Amino acid sequence: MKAAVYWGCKIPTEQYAYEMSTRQVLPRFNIELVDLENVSCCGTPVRSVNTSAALYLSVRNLAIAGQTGLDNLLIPCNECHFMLSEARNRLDNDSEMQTKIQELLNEEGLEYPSNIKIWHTIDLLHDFVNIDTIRGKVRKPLEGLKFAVHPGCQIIRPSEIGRVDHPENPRKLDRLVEALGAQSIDYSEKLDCCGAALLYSHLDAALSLAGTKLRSVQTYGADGFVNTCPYCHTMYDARQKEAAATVGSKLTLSVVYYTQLLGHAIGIDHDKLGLHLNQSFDPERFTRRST
Amino acid sequence: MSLTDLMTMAKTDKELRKRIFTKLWRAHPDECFQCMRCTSGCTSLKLLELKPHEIVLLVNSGFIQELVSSDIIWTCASCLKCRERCPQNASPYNTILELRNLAVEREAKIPEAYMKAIAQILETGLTQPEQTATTRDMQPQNREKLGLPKLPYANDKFKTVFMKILGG
Amino acid sequence: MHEETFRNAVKEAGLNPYLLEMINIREQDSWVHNKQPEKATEKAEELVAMAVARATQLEPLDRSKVKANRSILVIGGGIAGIQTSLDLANSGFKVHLVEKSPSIGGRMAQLDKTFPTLDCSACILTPKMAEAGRHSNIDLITCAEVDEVKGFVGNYEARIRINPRYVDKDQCTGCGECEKVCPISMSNEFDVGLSQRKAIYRPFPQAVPNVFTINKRGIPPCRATCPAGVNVQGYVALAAQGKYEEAYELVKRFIPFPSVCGRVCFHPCESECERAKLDEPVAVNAIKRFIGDYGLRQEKRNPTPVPGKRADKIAIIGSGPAGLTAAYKLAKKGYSVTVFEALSKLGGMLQVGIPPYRLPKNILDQEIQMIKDMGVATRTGVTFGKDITVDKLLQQGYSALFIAVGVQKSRELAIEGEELEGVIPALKLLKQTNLGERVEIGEKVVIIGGGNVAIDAARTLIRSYSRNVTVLYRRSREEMPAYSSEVEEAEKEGVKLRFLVSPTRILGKEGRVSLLECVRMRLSEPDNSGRRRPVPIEGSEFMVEADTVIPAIGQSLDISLMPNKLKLSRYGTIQADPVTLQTNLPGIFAGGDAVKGEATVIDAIAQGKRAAVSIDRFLNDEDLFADREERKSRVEEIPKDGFEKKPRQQMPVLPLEKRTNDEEVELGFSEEMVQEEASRCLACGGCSECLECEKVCELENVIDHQQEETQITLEVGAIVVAIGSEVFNASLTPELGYGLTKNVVSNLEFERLSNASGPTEGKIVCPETEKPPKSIVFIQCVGSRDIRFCEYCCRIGCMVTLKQAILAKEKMGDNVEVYVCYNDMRAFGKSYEEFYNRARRLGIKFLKGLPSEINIQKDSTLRLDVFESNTNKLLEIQADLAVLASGLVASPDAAKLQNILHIPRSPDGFFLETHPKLRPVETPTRGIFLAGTCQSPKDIPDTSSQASAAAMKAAELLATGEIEIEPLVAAVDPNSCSGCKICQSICPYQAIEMETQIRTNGETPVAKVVNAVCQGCGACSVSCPTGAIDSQHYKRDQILAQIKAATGGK
Repeated sequence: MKAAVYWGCKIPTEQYAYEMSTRQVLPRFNIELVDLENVSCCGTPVRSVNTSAALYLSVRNLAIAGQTGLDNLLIPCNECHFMLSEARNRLDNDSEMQTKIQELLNEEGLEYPSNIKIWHTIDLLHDFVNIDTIRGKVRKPLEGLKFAVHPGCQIIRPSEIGRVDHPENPRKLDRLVEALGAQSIDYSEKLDCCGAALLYSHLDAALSLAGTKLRSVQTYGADGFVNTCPYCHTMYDARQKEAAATVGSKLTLSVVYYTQLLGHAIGIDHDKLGLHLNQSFDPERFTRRST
Repeated sequence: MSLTDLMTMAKTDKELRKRIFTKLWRAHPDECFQCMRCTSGCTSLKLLELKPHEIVLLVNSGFIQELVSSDIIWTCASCLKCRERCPQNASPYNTILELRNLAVEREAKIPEAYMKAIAQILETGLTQPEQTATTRDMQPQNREKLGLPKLPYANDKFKTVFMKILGG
Repeated sequence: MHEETFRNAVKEAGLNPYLLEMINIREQDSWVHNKQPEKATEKAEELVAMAVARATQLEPLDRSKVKANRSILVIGGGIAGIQTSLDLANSGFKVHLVEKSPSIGGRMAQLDKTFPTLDCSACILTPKMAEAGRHSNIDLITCAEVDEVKGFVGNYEARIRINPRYVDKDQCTGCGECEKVCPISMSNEFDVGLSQRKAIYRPFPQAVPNVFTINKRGIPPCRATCPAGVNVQGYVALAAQGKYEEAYELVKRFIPFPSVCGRVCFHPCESECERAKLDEPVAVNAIKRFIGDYGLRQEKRNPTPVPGKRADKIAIIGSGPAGLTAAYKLAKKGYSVTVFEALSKLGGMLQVGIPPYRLPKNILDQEIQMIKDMGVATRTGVTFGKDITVDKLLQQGYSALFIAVGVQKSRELAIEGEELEGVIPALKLLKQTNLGERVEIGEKVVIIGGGNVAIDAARTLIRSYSRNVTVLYRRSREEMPAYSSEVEEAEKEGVKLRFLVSPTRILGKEGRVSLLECVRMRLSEPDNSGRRRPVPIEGSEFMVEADTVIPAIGQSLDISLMPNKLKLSRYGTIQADPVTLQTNLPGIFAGGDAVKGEATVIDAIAQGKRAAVSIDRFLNDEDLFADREERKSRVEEIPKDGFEKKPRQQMPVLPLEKRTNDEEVELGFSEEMVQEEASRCLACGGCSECLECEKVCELENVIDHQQEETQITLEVGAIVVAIGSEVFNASLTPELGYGLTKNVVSNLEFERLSNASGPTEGKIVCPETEKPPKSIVFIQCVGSRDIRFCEYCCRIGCMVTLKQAILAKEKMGDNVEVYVCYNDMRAFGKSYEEFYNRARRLGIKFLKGLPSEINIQKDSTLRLDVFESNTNKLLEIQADLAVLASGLVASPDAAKLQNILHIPRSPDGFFLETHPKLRPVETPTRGIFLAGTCQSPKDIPDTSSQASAAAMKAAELLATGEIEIEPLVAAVDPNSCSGCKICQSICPYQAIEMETQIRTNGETPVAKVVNAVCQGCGACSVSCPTGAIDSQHYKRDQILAQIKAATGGK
């Protein structure tokens, strides 16, 4: 499959590990990524200021992806995936708004693309590549390791606009982790939010949300924590120490992107996957096989 | 509507209510029957006392000004649980976003982080400049060193259009 | 409605009531144009003018009468259907009460107590059920569904399908002995899956009719796949219960070789096993082997009984699995059977083809002896075509022959050097070795081929002849036809495999094999067999050192031995009819490899069985073809809920270092392993047809596993629909944990938990831990008042919760905390508010606010946050058990009945009444009425009332035995009708018939309207090319007059 990829802002300006591991892993499953030029922010921070302007940003990026003539668009960031999906839903069901936004797009000679399929890393791997293919490529099975998965809020809710997995009982990321030979634990806080949206306005609250979730996961005996969103990842990885201090617990979870975990299992070098950029990552604990 | 809040002497505002309802498109705060599912599960309730059901009821009643000038509307974590689980079409999440829009417009009250992001979008199209990453052993890294292609930036034409819609 | 009033007024004034024209100024004018009063007045004036114009054209009409059948069909045997039926039956009407399930009683039978009086549901329901069951005016038809309804009011004709119960309901005494021996457990729907019941069951002890029913889902995949149709699920189920003897008898009903098959069958049953979709297939074959070995030990004491001898003599040629199976089956029927065998020992390929490390000789010999013990005569060393012939056998008085000689001629490699010493066909090697003769084998052995014979030869060689054995195969490992497990074991034992290699020449020295020239192959596109075709790579020839070459590339029928008059197929096998196995010679049958070419043991056994049936029929002059195939269909939907993953037992094997002789490699399961493994079966088919129930039933022919569905037609005057509704499936809201933990239950499940006749005998426990809950939380409005699921209020949730909370509190007192999270508390019925008061006084905590989610804790307790809006507090509730007030949704059968009865449903899926206030139990189709929750959710008091109302409405309609028909129907002017039949094809109600009219120019067909069926829609009138058909009261002239008035006469 040849797919356009829209990285958004957070990944290409900061979360390099996600970009690196995605670029490494997907070609191994015959997915060729086509980078987009001239793209901009998806609209996430703008929506609090002006929802119409945010909608315009989302649609503009969709239009640029549409220009490639490709049928598939990968959006690895949960936030961007939500914004562009919501924009797609709005324009497909609100012709008045579509006309209004199209007028703005005309100024750049862009056109709203009605049928490019939006993928996220999770459903691309789970539904398109499929579990058996992934299982078949595993060279270093993660047997004996336990992971807690965090799908994140924006790719499972709201279900009315069509999301990547079930809003209340998401299992795709679990199955993807299990395909690598590891165990995915069931924990009751799985659907809880990382708090990233509050990071700049309510730091303590944000850290407390992230810390509480990790603390709970730790009581289930998890070796690591798997996510697929650059915002969530920042909270759980880079800010894990601060979060631990906020909730008054010792937190020692290796937090990784699923693409990094997959890359590791199919035998790609850690540095190529950006695993050296994960602040919380403990290579020894990660690769040990518990008995 | 002629309700008066006798504790604050605030009156309801029909105009604002209408504006919010129009912008909400498919969300309808007037459908809310106060079942409390949104507030029971709100990510920001315990820490920041956000009560989505209250916001929806206040907006529906027309007591909007007090919300627009409050800090509470800036405590939503955007987890979308309220929107997913609302048994009606009330969608507190979208209602809160529209209240924020109004706050920016009326009060020019906007947390600094949003302002910075918008300024940066006008600069490069993206919300932040390329950051320096650090490895676990404290080595600074950037896209080039990590073997990643150069960042794509939005062109100038985009900035004009974006300014236009941002200005309303 | 108002029209009716005015018509009566006109009638009372002495005029024909159809000389009335009514206009509706209020709805069509005043209300809709209230902002433009002047224009509205203008419109009103025009409407009046139009009405007057039409009124002048109206014609007097008379209502006609039709005879009505004074019996009523009631669909659904819940409390609504029972009440309606009793009311009607007591009023003297004949009632046919049709219920889909095995017993009447419906939902109410499942409930514990009823609100607001807390009387025991069963106590007030069962007397009514019993009365309905024995009432002389009620014809109770259970296990039945309505398939089709034709006709019109007063004269409906309903086709009812009665599904097989497999038990004669008139004779069954309900003693329950069958239930005790049934090995199959299935989810008990009466307990909402909280318990298990047997495949033969009675829904509950007070069932009406009080008889048993067998639950069959269809043929399980294992049995459907087995070429010999062996009842796999049956013997697995019996084995799971430790009933090995019964299991053995069951297998032996199908095949004579349980122990042999348990070792060498390629078990397609396991490949199709549904359990594989959950974890791994059940180790069916190992279970069968255990049963077979167990049975062999028993058989010595109790040989298979044989009925009295019959005069007919049957000759069976060939003692392989096909021949011996036929002999076994025919001997069981009492025939004199003689088996002829060319070799010195019986068993065919089982004896000489399969090496002893896979099939020990003593096992085979015992199973053969068992057949001999049944009186089967055997003659060895007799070759067909040489020592005996068809003609000779017929002369000797054999009435039928079965030729099952197998394929004995080894195929040749067709390459240079094949005649050299040291080239030994695999079959020859196996035959001689198995008969105890030594074959001369060199040091370096190469086997050509990839099938089971090749691998058997290799493993035999490595045991008894040479350690240096290589198998060459021209395709790759994936294409190998040999069983992969055998290939793996061979490799472990030291056999070398080389793929994509084919021999081209055998080189010799002094007349003996010295070298083998081979060529490398590559795979191109797939051939007919679906395998990729091997193609030689030019110039890739190479030499392999070898002193012995064993071709194992297949066998064929030795045609030279076949009689000339026997017809052969173009594949060089005997031609036999695939259904009967009869050859071109009458009375001469053929089967096994000799007909099919090389196939499997179980295929041969299947052919033996088939031949035996044909021969028996042939000798009795019966049709050879009739009813040969299984009529029941394979089960498709197999529920897997409630089954936990459990790995398959691994077959213990002989350690490698011990594999030097004939000792069996697979050691078989222990009894414990068989128990573990057999308990993994999902019982796909429901009833396994093990027939244990038949054995214990004290009456003859009460249990009939062959019962089939039947159809009956009922003529009725009216129909009452009372099919009820379903409970909302709360697993659609997994945030509340339903379906993820058993400690979150629906309110219907709670009824079973608190019911003294339920799975816990009324002790309220958490299903997950089976301990009494210390705190219970009830969650209201689950699936109800929620646009994602059901927009409407379920109308029972609040009261059901109040009742259940009270029951919990009364049963457990201070040992339990009870919380109710509600949205609005609706206690609107008589005595309901008092009931709510009672609940509050009992200390039940009412919290205004619903949780967003329920979190399941590690210790399987529940935690939920609720924002209580009256106190403005976020409360955390720790609960052991959560009960969801799941709402009611329309029954899936409603959609089906909608089409059968042509009655509408509202958007929520429930049946739509004609008018919510004025005609609440009637449907727009006259003579069809509604009762109970199929019309909308309602509680028992409302259901009973509505059921009585529906009964009254039906009685009113049929009281006189005559029904007045409105004259607003189409009418035909026979003189202008051209007989074109367009009206007949267009009528949506099939109300038009054609009849013959005699005219001066001969006979001609003309249309005729059946007044009672016509609905007056007018479709015929506008389609009639000659204007011969017109709607009475809406005639062309009448409507034109109106139009003219509206357009001012233009």
